[in-house]
Order: sequence, then C-alpha cells, then structure tokens
Amino acid sequence: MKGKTKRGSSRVLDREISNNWLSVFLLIIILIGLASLGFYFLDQTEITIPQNYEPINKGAVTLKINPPPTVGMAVENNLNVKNVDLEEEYINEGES
Amino acid sequence: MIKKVPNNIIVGLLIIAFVVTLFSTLINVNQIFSGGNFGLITGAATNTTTGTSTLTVQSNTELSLQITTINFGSGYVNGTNASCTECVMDTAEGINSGNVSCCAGFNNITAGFLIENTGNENISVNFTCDGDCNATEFINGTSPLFQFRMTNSSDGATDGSAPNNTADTNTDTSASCSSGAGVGWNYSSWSDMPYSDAAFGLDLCGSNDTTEYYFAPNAAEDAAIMDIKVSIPEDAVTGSQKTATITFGATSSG
Repeated sequence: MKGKTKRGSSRVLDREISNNWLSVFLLIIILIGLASLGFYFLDQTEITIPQNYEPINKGAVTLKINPPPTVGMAVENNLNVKNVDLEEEYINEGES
Repeated sequence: MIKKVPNNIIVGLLIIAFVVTLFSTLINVNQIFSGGNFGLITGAATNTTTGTSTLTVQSNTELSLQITTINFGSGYVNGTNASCTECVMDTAEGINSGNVSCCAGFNNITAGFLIENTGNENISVNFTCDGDCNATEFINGTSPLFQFRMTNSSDGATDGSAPNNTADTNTDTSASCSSGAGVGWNYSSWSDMPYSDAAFGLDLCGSNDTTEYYFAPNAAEDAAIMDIKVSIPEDAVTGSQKTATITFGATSSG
C-alpha cells in the first residue's frame, strides 16, 4: 500500500528522529527531573522566622518646671529733647 | 547547515536523564507514601485505628508595658494665688482637686504605667529606675514629692476613684499578683522613689523575684498599674526637662 511500510506504520512516523531533536527532548526531561528535585528540597527547607518582637517594658516620666511669667510694664521714652542755643537762634533770626 | 549531535552525547544525556528521573521519582514516591506534605493526596483512607498527635507549648516569659509615657509637660506653680504653695498631680486623679488653679501649664495625666503579663508563665515583677529617680533630682525645692504605687488593673472596674485601666487588653476582673501564695502588689500605697541615679531593683510582685512567681498570665488577672505622683513646691528649681526611665523586669521558673 502506498504510504505504508512493511509493518504497516505510516512513513511519517517511521522517519528517524534526528539526534538534535532527541537531545532537546532529553534536556527537557533532565530539566523536569531537576525541577522536581528542586521542589523536594524547597519543601524540606526550614523557614525560620526571626523573633524580632520584643515587648516594651520601659517607660519614662518627664516633667519640666518653667519659671512663672513675669508681669511688668515697659515705659518707652518718646520725649526727644533738643538742646537749642537760644542766643544764637535769636541772632540768626535778627540777621535774616 | 546544522551540525548533527553525535551519538555518544545522546547516550550521555540519556544516562543523566535516567539517573535524575529515577532519583526524583524515588524521593517523591517516598514523600507521598510517608505522609509528606506535598498535598497530592489529601484525606486518603488508612487502615490504622490509632494516631498520635503531639503538641509542645513553649514557655514564654513576657511582660509588656501598655502605656509607656507619662509626660506631665511643662509648667509652674501659680504663685499669684496666695493659697498655692505647691502643685500636686498623680496619674490616677490627674491634677488633684482643690489644686487645679495652682498647676499652671502642666498636662493633666490620668493614666499610669499599665503592665501586663503577656506570656504564659507565672512571673515575679521588679523595676529599676534610671535618670532623675528621686524627688530632689526630679523636682527639687522645699519638700517635693516623687512617688509611685502599685494597684490592680481590676480595681478600676470596681472603684471609680481607682486608676485608669483602659489600656488593659482584656479588662481584669480579679486582683493580679495573687496567684499561689501571692497576696497582692508590694508598694500598694504611695511610696517615695527611693534611690538616686544608681541602679536599684525593687520587687513589686513577690518579695523575692527569683522564687515567688505570683503574677499570673490569665486574661482576667494579668495586669497592674504603676501610678506616679508628684508634688511641685512653689520654689522648685526651674530648668531643663527631667526624665526618670523606669524598666520593669519579669522572672519565671519556666
């Protein structure tokens, strides 16, 4: 029969798988196997949670004593006193 | 043109694949049938009729301070009021009644240090103080007071004038420090902070903090309050902020 071998399988299936494809398949199998082993060892890994929690057992009492406010009165001197030489002022006015 | 992988490489890869697969299969099958927690088989029926469950509760000695700061703030004694010779405040009552006009500027604090046995062991409790740990250092002036007292957290549930226990995780209904032979807290009345800067230790629950473990962890009796009281005289020395740092310690037999 056309398309059949002597043993009856198709010619497509009867083709030789090239070594290149074979090596790819084998590499895939190896990777799957290694991944499986990886899961095993991952499962075996003990996860240790560090105990960082420390209860607070320290407290502080604070106090500050201020001086009482000072009550007072500030007097501002706004009186400007100008010394005038009256005699000279008079002479100047007479000349003008 | 793609170079053909030689046969000996293929054979090598085959051997590696075989070894890895075999090793992986053995380990995983072993895990599955020895009850490993891979989760592939859940609820599988067994023909065993008995099982053993083991549980170990670890000892945990732990004391937690739920209120960590008592800040009276800053202020002065109001000398303009002739009747004011001092300002008296404590963390149970706040600024003492009849004394309000004498305390100018200070914070009205109404919650003391609330300590709670948050572990699972009966413990003894002590404390140390560091910093300005007596009245002379903390306040100064004529006849200052810097005092403390211990009370049960449950006192707040039965006595309106008793300390503020709102920080208690589970409000106590029974007296603490009364487990076993315990008869309650030492220093249950106002007591002076006794020492200066030097480190010291005072037993608060039990008279021997290495043998008398009277402070139980049960939720209904696992808290106590250290209240602080100060009396600031009119002539108290003014200056920088004073701080007393109090450290509570716990010991158990566990």
